Amino acid sequence: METLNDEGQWIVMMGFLVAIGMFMLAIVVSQAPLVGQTTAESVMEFPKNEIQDLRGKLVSMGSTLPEISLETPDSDQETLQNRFREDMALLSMSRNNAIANYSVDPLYNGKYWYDSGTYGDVFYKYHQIDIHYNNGVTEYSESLLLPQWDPEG
Amino acid sequence: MVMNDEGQLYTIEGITAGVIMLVTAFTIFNSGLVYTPGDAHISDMQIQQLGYDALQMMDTPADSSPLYESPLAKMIQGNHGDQFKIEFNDYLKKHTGTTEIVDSLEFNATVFNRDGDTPHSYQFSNSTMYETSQLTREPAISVTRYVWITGRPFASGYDTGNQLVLLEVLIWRR
Amino acid sequence: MDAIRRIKDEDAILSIDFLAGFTIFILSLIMVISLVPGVLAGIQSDNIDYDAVAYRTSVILVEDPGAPDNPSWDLMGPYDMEHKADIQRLGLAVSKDTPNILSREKVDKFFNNNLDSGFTFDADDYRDKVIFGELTYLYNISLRLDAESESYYAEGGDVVPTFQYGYMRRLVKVKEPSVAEVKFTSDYIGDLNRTVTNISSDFSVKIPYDVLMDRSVNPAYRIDPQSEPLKINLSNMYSNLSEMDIQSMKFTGMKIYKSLDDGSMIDIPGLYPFENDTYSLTVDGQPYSADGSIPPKSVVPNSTIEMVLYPPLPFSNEITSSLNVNFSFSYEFENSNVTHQYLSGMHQYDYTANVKQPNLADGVMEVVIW
Repeated sequence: METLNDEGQWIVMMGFLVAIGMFMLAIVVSQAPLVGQTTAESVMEFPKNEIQDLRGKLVSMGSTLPEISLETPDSDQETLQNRFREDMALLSMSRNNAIANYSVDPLYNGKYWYDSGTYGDVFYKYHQIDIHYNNGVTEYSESLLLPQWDPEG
Repeated sequence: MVMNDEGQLYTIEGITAGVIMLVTAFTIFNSGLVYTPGDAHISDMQIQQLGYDALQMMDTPADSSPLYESPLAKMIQGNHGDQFKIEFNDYLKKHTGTTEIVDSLEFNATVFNRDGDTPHSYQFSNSTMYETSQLTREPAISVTRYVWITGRPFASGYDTGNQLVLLEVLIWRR
Repeated sequence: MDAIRRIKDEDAILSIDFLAGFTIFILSLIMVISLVPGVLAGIQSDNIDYDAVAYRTSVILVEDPGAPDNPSWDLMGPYDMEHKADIQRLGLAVSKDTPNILSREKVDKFFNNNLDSGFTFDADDYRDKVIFGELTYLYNISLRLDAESESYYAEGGDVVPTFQYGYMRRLVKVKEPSVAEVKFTSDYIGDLNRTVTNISSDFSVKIPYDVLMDRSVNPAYRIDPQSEPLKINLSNMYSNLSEMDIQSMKFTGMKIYKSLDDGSMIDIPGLYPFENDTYSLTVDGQPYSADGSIPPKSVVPNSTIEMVLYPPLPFSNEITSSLNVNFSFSYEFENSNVTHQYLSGMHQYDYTANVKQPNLADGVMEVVIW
C-alpha cells in the first residue's frame, strides 16, 4: 500500500468541529428547562403565603387582643399569647416543616405582653411584634410595631 | 500491484466526518436529553396561589368584625364541612369570563389542632368526586391557613378556649 | 507526486472523489443542522417566561399598594396627567399589610372607570408600571365583582390567544367606601314654640378625623378620609317630624366647617359650585349648588339629599382636626296650637352603627400575558 495521502483530513476536522459545536449547544440547551422550572418552583418553594398568613394573623389579632381580654376575663393576653405561640410553633413544625415563632413586646419577667406597650407616643402605644420564620430554605424575620389606640398616652 | 485507492481519499474522509456528526447529533438530541415540559410546575403554582387566595378570602370577614368571626372560623367551629365545600368550590371556579375555566379541581380539607405537645387532626371537608378521583388524579398541592377559633373544634376531648388551628387543604386536578 | 497532478488532463475537472466526499459531508451537515431547530423549538422558554411575568404582574396588582403610596397614586386628578410619570407601580392593594384587599378608588382609576375624570391610563402605562420587562408584552387584565354583571378590562388589552400565554387568577376583595345613611330618629328633632311659625336651622354631620384615622383599626376596614370618598345620605327626613303642621320645608344650602383647636368652627370658603374636586351634592338626583345661587329646594317626605366628599377631604392631613358638614333648612309652620318640630342636632361619622362601614366585596382578577 502506498503511503496514505492525508490531504482530505480537513473534512474529518470539520466533522469534529461540528460535533463539538453540537455538544456545546446541547449543554446550553439542557440548562434552559432548568431555568424554567426554577421560576415556577421557586415561586412555590418560597413560603410567601404562609408568612403573609402569620403576619396577617398577628396584625389583626393584636388589635383585637385588648377586647378579647375584656370578653373573657379568665384568659388574659399573656395566656392567649402563649396559647397561640405554641399552636403556631407545633402546627408549623408538623405540617409545614417550618419553625414559626413570634413574641409580642420583648420578654420581661417571663411575660411577653406589656399592657403599656414597648413604645408610645401621644396617640398610640405600640406593641412590638417580632416574627420569625424558617423552613430550612427561607428564613424570615421581622419586627413590626402594632399601634393600640391610647389617647391618654 | 495494489488496487488504486487514490480516488477514494476524499470520499472516505467525507463519510467519516458525516458519521461523526450524525452519531453525535443522535446521541445528544435523541437519547441524552430528557427534558420535562416547561410548564409542568406552572399549573401547580397557579393552583397553589388560588388555594391560598381562596382560604384567605374565606378567613376575611366582610365587615370589621374580629378575625375569629370570619366565615371560615365559624365553619370550623360549627363543623360545617358541607358549607365549606360549597364556598371553597365557588371560589376555585370563580372567573372573569376572559378565559375558559376547566372546573376539575378536587380537594380534601383536614383540620389540625394542638393538644399539649401532640397534633391532632380530623377530616373536615372534601369535594364531591373526592373518592372516585383518587385513582387517576395528578399530584396534589397542599395549602394551609391558620384559623383563630374561640372554642374547641368539633371533635371532643380537645382543649377548649381560644386557639389557632391549622386548616390544610389538598387540591388536585382530577 | 500528488495524485491530482498525475492526471494529465486536469483542466476544468474537479475530482469525482473530492466531489463525492464533500457531498457526503455537506449532506450529513444539513441533516444535523435540520435536527437542531426542532430541538430548540421544543424547549422554547417563552411559555415559562410568560407565566413568570403574569405571576409578577398579579402580585403587584393584588398585594402591593403601588408607589407612591403616601399620598397614594390614585389621588392624582385630571390636572396631574403630566405627572403620570411619577407613578412607579400601579398596585391596587389598600395597604401593604392587606394583600388581596383592593381599594375601590385604585380599581376605578386603574380600569379607567371614570372616563370623564380626564385621568386615564393607556397600554404604555400598563407595560411600564405593572407588567414591566424588556419585551412589549400583550396583555389582558380583567376584574369581576360578584355583585356586578360586567367585568372591568384594562385599556388596550387584546383578545386572549388559544395557547402560549402566561396566566394567573387571583381572588380579591374590593373595599367599598363607607356611607352615613342618616336615619332621622327622635334624637335629631328640635322643638319650636307654638307661637313661632318659621325657623332656619342646620343639621350637621361631624367627621372627626382623629376617630377615623385610628391606626389600630385594620387598614382593610379603616375609613380613610385621605384616600376614600365619604358619603352622606339624608332621607326620610319627615319620619319623626309631626308633618301635619309643616307648610313648607326647604333645603337652603350646605356649608363645611373646620374645627379649630380652641373648639370654635370656621367656614371653609370657596367650595361653592355643586360639583368640584371636594364634593358633589345632589337633591333628589339633581345637582344642587351649595351657595344659594339655585333657589332653595322644597323637601318633600320622600326627598333624598346625597353628598359625596372626595378624597383627600379638606384638612384631613391634620389628624386631630374635624370637619362639620352643615345642611341648612328653613321651615314654615301653620299657626296651629301644637309644638312645631324641625331637624336639628349632629350625626357623627365614625365606627359605630351611625355609618355603614366599608364593605369588602368578593371579586376575581385574571391576568393574561403573552
